[in-house]
Amino acid sequence: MNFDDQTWLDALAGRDTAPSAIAREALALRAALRNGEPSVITHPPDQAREDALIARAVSEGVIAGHARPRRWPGWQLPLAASVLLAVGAGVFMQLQPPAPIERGDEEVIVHLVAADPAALKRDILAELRAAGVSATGYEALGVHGIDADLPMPLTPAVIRVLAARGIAEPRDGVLRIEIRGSR
Amino acid sequence: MNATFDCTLLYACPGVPLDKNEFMRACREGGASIEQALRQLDRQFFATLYARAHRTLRNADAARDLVQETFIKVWQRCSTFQGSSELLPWIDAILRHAVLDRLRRTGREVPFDEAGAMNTQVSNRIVELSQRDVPTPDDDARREQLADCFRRCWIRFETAAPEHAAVISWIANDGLSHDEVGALLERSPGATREFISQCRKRARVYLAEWYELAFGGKDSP
Repeated sequence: MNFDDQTWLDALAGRDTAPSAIAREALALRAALRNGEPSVITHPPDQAREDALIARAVSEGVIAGHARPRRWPGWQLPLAASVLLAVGAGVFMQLQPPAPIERGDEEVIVHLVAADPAALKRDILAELRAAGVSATGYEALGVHGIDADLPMPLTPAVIRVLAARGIAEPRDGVLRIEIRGSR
Repeated sequence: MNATFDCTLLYACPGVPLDKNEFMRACREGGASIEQALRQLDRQFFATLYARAHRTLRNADAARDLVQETFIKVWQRCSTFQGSSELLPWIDAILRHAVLDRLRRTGREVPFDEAGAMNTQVSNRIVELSQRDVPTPDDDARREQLADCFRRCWIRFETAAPEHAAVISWIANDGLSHDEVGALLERSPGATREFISQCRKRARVYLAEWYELAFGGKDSP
């Protein structure tokens, strides 16, 4: 860019320049462009427009869709929990006093063991909710649980929560946790 | 979908602007925070961004779609926002990139023969005309005549060289510097200098009629 081009650019941008033919040419163009600006167009909040934006954000994976129904509604959950407890009770009785948290490797449900399951449930719920996840806590037959639908793809905040708790990232976005007492 | 206002998030309350700190917080938190913040961005910046997109694209549907696309990109890139500037200039830069991408996709740029005899003649005439003072129209009819002429010339310019016209408009309206133009175009300093030089030359050709009218006085065509 030669000196004339630099002068033209500066004058067009409204920066100080020495008076010259080039500067005048650019200043005239600047004035014409700025005079041609439409007066402020007002666009009041538009619910339909906002909803379309959110729908697009969901379809492009920026945010998760609305929460899906829990997979274990109503009576199924206590039943499953009791069966699981019956099968696992003998094993747990043999365990040494465990570390505060142990994790199972079952594919669908993440099993945790803690000295205070209710407290751990509250902590994980709070962390998930702070990460923007809609999560539900419950207690059935002495088992504390959490159901959550995670945003897919997982957001950095959710990944941090899962990693901090040593929980594998669920492939389908459905997170199910059961927490039992260690005593 | 329902728009519910979660006033534990300050910016999600109607009338409360989303500042950059709340924006970064929503970006970190993700999930529902992003939805609330997206709605707030739309309420706060749609009108401004729409006007800017429409100024370049001159199509209401395309401008609306581009602003929506920009908001999505804002969230896809939110972790790169460091808070060193205010939100609007950062979002504006994303919008400009989106505008340029769209203009390039249309591929309607007309080749420019800068060495052509007519271009040289036009260029010399504008240099001659602009030795005079910047014109100040002295009556409404004259102002209207000049404005009409400029609009016609500018539309021709935008049609033939949309990328150059867009950049000139951003320089005039937003004061972009050489470095900012280079960053926007993703070009080296040398290539940016050449682009700006081309902007000036093309503007002279497509706006020649308006320059003549503006600087040449009432008797000019």
